[in-house]
Amino acid sequence: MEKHLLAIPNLCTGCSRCVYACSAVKEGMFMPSRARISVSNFPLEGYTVPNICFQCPNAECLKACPAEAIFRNERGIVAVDAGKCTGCGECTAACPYGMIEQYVSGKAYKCDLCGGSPACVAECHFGALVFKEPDRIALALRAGQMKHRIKEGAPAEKRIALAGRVLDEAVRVPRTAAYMGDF
Amino acid sequence: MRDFDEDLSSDYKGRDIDAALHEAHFMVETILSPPHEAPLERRKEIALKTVRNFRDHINKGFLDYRKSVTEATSFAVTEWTGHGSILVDALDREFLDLLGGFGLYSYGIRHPKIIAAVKAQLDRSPQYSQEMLDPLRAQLAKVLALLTPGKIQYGFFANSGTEAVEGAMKLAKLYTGRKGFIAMLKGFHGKTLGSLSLMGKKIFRKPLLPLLEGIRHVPFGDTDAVEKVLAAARSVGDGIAAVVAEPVQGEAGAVVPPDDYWPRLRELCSHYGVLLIADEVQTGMGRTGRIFGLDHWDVTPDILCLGKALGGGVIPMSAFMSTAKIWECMEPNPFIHTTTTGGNPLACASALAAITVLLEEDLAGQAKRKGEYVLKHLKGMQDRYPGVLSQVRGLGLLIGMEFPTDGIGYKVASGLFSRGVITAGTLTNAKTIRFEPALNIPQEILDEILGRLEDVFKTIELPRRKKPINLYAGQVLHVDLTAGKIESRPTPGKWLKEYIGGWGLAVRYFFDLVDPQTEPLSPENGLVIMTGPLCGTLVPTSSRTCLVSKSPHTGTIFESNVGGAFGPELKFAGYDGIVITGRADHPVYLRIEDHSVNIEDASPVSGKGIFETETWLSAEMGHGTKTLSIGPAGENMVSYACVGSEAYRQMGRAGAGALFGSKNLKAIAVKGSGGVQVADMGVFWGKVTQHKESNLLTEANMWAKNEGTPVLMDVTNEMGIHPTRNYSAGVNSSRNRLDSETIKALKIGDRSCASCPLGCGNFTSANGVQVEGPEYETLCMGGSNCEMNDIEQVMRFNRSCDDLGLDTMSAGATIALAMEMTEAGVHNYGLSFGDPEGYLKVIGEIARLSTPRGKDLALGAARLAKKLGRDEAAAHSKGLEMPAYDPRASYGMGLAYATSERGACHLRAFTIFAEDPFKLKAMAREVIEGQNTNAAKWSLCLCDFWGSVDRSVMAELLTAGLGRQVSERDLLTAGERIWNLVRLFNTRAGFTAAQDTLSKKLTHTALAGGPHAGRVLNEEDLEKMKELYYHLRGWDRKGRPGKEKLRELGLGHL
Repeated sequence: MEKHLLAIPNLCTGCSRCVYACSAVKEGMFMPSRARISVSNFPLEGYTVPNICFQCPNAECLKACPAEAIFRNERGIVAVDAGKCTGCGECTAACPYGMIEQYVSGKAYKCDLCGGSPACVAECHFGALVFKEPDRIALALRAGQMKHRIKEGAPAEKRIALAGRVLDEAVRVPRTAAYMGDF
Repeated sequence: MRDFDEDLSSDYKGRDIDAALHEAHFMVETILSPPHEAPLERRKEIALKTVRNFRDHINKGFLDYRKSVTEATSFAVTEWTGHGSILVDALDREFLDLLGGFGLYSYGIRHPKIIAAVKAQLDRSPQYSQEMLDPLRAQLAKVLALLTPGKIQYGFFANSGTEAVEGAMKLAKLYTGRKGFIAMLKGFHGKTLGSLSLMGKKIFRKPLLPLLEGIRHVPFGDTDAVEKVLAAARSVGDGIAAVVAEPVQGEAGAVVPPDDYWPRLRELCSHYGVLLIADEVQTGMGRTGRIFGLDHWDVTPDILCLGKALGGGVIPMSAFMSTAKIWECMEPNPFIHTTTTGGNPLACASALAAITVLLEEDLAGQAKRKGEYVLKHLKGMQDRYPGVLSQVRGLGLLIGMEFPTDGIGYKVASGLFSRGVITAGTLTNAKTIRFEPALNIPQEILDEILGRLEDVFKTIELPRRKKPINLYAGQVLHVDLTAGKIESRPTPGKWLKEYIGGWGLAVRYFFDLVDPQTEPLSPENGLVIMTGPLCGTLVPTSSRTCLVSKSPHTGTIFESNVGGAFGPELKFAGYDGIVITGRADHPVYLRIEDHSVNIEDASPVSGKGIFETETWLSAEMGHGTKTLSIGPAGENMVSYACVGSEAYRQMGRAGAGALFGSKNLKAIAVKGSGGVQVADMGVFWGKVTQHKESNLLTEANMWAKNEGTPVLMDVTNEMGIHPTRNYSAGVNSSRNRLDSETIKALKIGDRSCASCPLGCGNFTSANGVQVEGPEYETLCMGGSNCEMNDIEQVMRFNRSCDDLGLDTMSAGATIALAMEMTEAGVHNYGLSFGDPEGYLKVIGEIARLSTPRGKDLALGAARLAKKLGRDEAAAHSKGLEMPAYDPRASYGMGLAYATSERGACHLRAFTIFAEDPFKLKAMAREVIEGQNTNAAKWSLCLCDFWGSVDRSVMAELLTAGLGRQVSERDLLTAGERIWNLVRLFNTRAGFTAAQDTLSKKLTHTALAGGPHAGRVLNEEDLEKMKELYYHLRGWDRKGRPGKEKLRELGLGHL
């Protein structure tokens, strides 16, 4: 089974090292606005949701591309052929997770899992991003995140809307620990 | 877009007369059926056929450049019908017409009066016999003779603008007998060979050289250049027939010449005896707000060219006209210039009807009013989107928008297109886009277009304005809130070298900005917010942002910093820092979105807490906006109000919040889309990884990740330096209710500042109260020091302070003092140690100054003690409440507090782990070393958790990022320089050695309990340490930096 990038929001601290690392690898500078991964931070609630590309099995971006510039490679990664991309933006509109964006030129860019060795995972020291063959729990987690499909808005708006739903569903029961008995 | 090549392979196989007839019938049938009755399928077929026909029979090249094809979602936009200012394509999609067919549609599309005249004439006679005299042409010539300025009396009619120019050139040559012309750079007069010779653009002209000889080009608007050429031509015997120009250059992007240009051209032409040709093809017929463009300057040309709108937007029509005197040259042989179709009855009917519309509907007047309206709005947008719209200009409704690059212009053009607005601007030629709608465009459509245009501007991502320098953004924002003025200025490179960034750089800016005698809460005080060079990179713990100003709490210069992600975002927006001066006249916030920086109204959140303010700002600017803001405490200028960020992070100490409040500055909110660049990403990343693995994520450092600052509860209690019960004891016997184990049990998540792999923040939750924290200082000041050994109450205290915008340390210390005063019977504040009710209630009273008790406690511990006549009851230095490390059992901390620029602060030197904390000489040395190192550390804006890491790593990372050598010594020298500069400021503010002291609580009252019970740090010992400290620093006995030392540090001139 192929490896999946998995995001575990409950473990994410919002440090954004994944975002910094991604832009450094892909753009040669620290530039979160161009990263292929992002984090939606809810500081007041103390929660952060990593927004990742799921490399969807039935990828909307791929289906939407009129130029056949988006394809699935032999590793199962949904990739953009910049040479073929006409910059029409159909993929950006189609992705329900806000995970494919465009340069000023119009050309699309998205996560390609760094070809199988994702830099974001290497920089996550909290276990909130993992790259592995998914087990049942991981698949359920992934499915739970993928079910929130946002149709409208710019990519950033879709990401935050999706993250908001993940936060709403997160089990955030305050732990009332043993100390309560001390008083 | 559909793949047309695949869908519609070419069906053209050479000559086929049957197919020709069939295809002709197809379109004739289509034309004959009413436009909206054709079935959708047929219209789709036509849309596809049109693209194919363009590809196979017109010019493939158009398909690559036209937005109507390249931007269309599934079907190319195929022209179908239109009315007024609305175009409808074959698939019934509506577009608002901003292009006006490049000035063709001045009367709108299909003006009913013009259409009626043309239809009627069509039924009478569409063309003329070529032999009889045609009445329409003759009458139109008369009408135009009456309409045109001066003595222009005769006209010749043709079909297109370029023909009018060709005719004008022939007339000028005939009349003068000379062959030369002077034309304008960037001018446009048409693309046939004669007028192409006048063309002022290489791209159209060069491939067709040689063209007519004797043509000279000069810059548009420059009459001196015209005169030089005329004089030179005369002196070498070259004949110049005419000077040709457009009143306002259209194709060049609505370039309006200087006011004296046309009058002076007229003078020059008359003086040198050459003709003046005005090409009014685009500017004529009301376009610029007068009937003709030259009417603006009351100039009469010798020859006038008309076109475009002359034909009423219905039939092609152009003309050149001149005076009776000049026209004489064509009278001997009237056939010297003729055309079969020019001035045909249909065209003349159209033009005559159009002129009635022009005059009856006062199109020129409409153009003038609407043009002024549009220019005003576009100029507003130019201010709001400075990097998007670089220039706006024009006259009447011939308006040009200039963009910094073709790329941005094309983005605007295509963005408008996708929002249903038609405009020019192709992939390769979009630097200027013309705003040229019908002159009778309804106001609501005009407003709709302006609204959509602004929507487009909002989406434009700008390329970096300047090549960023390594690690720094290179720009600092200067904001004057009184004047509402905002400027971005480069950061002086010398300062970056000498002061690194962060604290140091902020101090340097502040030193020049504010007089040391300034009243802290006056508009004359300024504040400087600064990030560090490593901020916004993968260097761990690098994201802090510091603020430097003169403190309302201590009266000294001070620095306060905050973690989180504000700093990186500011750098991504393109600024290393912000310098703020003055005072707004109502509550405002500073809104920074890359190059767009504005002062905005903040009254909707006036009086609101930080949490609500942040939520509101996110709604205003979008999620992910990073903010610094204040709560009611800051607005009410409580002198220990903090500035909050990301709900639970603060620039806590010494009253940064009060300073925001004094400036009516509720918040600073930033969204940035840029990046931070390093010299060599590979080398830099390598260093970061090495540092992270060998220095930060080590076994010895895991306390930060696992416990965070609450681990200090045990450490300080064991040392006996844990302030308890208003600094009376050094040990809290109930500390196990507030310790890291307690926090762990309540923790529901780890939190990090940007780029930090340690994540020391503990997000805790208990019985409905959630907070990131409490951190050690809060646990001690709001917990032990108030004997509040109930973590849930401390969490509530923590959360309330964070929301209301109070420093938990000063608040805890002040409440503890009030508790002691109440219990001692000095003054009854209704507060007692360990009692949660008053403890929690009073926080809001302080922040809102809502009760006498709140107002008293808002003074802070030092002033409150003084007011109550119990100076000795408060623990502080220079008025800043002492932090959670008691100096009576850690002398180095005593010296650090006494000599700190902002009063009792543990972040300047931290000696609690010293081998012998009572060794005076060693402490003096250690404090200096710590202060200098920390000055460099805060200038790099690193977190204190860098504590275990030495300066060599800082130097290595800076070197790798900057691509130039930075040594450990450089950093230490910078630290010493900064320390001396803040000292210099405080000296000038009136602080001397006498204020480098600790309050009596610490020098006279012995610690009660713990391993160091009975100890004080007596004044004599403190003085001994100070004496050595001053000596080693090169300062005099009053603690003033010596001239020698200042010179050595390059501060001699200050």
